[in-house]
Amino acid sequence: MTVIDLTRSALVPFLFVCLFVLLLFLPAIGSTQESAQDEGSSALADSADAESTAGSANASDSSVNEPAAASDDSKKPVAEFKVSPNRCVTLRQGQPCFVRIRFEWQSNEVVKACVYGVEGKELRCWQASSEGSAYIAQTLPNTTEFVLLNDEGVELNRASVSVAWVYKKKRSKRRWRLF
Amino acid sequence: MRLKVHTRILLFCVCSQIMLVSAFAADISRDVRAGREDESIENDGYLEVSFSAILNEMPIPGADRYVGTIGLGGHYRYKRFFIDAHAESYNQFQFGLNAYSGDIWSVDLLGASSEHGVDSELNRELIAFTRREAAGFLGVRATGYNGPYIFQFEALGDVSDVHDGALLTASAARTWLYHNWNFHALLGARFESAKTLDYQFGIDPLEATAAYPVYEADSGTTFVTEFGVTYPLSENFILKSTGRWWELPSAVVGSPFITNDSYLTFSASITFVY
Repeated sequence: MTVIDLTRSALVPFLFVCLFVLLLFLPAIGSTQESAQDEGSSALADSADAESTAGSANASDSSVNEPAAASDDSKKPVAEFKVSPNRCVTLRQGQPCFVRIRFEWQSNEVVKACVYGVEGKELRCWQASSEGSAYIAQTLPNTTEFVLLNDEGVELNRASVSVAWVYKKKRSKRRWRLF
Repeated sequence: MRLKVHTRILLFCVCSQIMLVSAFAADISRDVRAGREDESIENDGYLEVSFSAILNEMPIPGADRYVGTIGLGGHYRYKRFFIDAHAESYNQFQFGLNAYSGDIWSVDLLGASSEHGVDSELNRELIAFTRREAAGFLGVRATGYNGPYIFQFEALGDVSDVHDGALLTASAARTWLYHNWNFHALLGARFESAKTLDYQFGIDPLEATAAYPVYEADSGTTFVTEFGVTYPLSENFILKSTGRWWELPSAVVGSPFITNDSYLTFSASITFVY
């Protein structure tokens, strides 16, 4: 065992102070504001897909703070739609992720708009407005797309919040096995 | 920087020898945080670097009450073979084969390196008594997973001729998840044979002094209660905190090294997972 004894140095009190400060700011840290992890790199996995220990359910996150790209010219987004944060981190793969999301939208027109989330559940509606914002707590089972629709059910825009984790896992076949 | 597989394994083995001796509850302490070991990704693993602040109410004269440490550990799995080194594990270093993995039960053939007893780093006066080698154990481990509950049983024997003792453990844990905060509670019992405890806490006539007279330890069972919390700060950093209460057996309490029949440890750490 190799232990660096820091008992008599100023570093131990400093560690306590750091931990205390971190605890004060945990709600902001837990839901990260940006994708800081390069999901394509790994020091241990020797597989072609180079999957890292810290993983994500969506390896190709869209830029969730900008209007989603339209699949064709006839479906150009008519509203700006932003969600923040765009990433939620859990301890283990498969756990639901709790996050407080800020939804913001802005349109050139006055519209009636609603935001829909997990399983198409209506989260918040605005009546006859050209902009709106809401701060809503969500428990996400996995990477989730939030859709902004008008009162006619026409999609105005969409944005996603990706779920990432520290420890990944896979479900192996259940049996006796030596190799 | 990408390393070849054998280089990673070698690096992991080297790093895993550098460990913080914390305390109990075998790898159930790892499972309550990282999940089922038998669901680890094959041919993959991770390294951990922990920065810890520890409160130790150790029943050993002169032991430091506050300790700051840096520990290295991790996990690697090659097919069904695994290597484990975790700060929370009682066995500093473990390796084995996951022989069976069912919906509820997982059975491992387990090898472990375990060094316990009085550490001369805790008390310089005990240097003469603490030349104890780490024993190499071999045995089986069965772990049961049922929703938020984990049950684990171990039966190990010293195969390294250090003390030829035996070790039996039984533990149960429950986990809770609240707003990304992972809580767990654990109860455990650890039976060590007379040979095991006498090697760690006994004093033979050649070592005995007036302050530390001859003592022969019998077998005994240690009970531990643990509460912990883990929070992911990001994909690579986690915050951990663990409190443990130990009830020592009379065979240990009777040792001249030990001044109390129970003690408390509390640790808080930030771990970098790579």
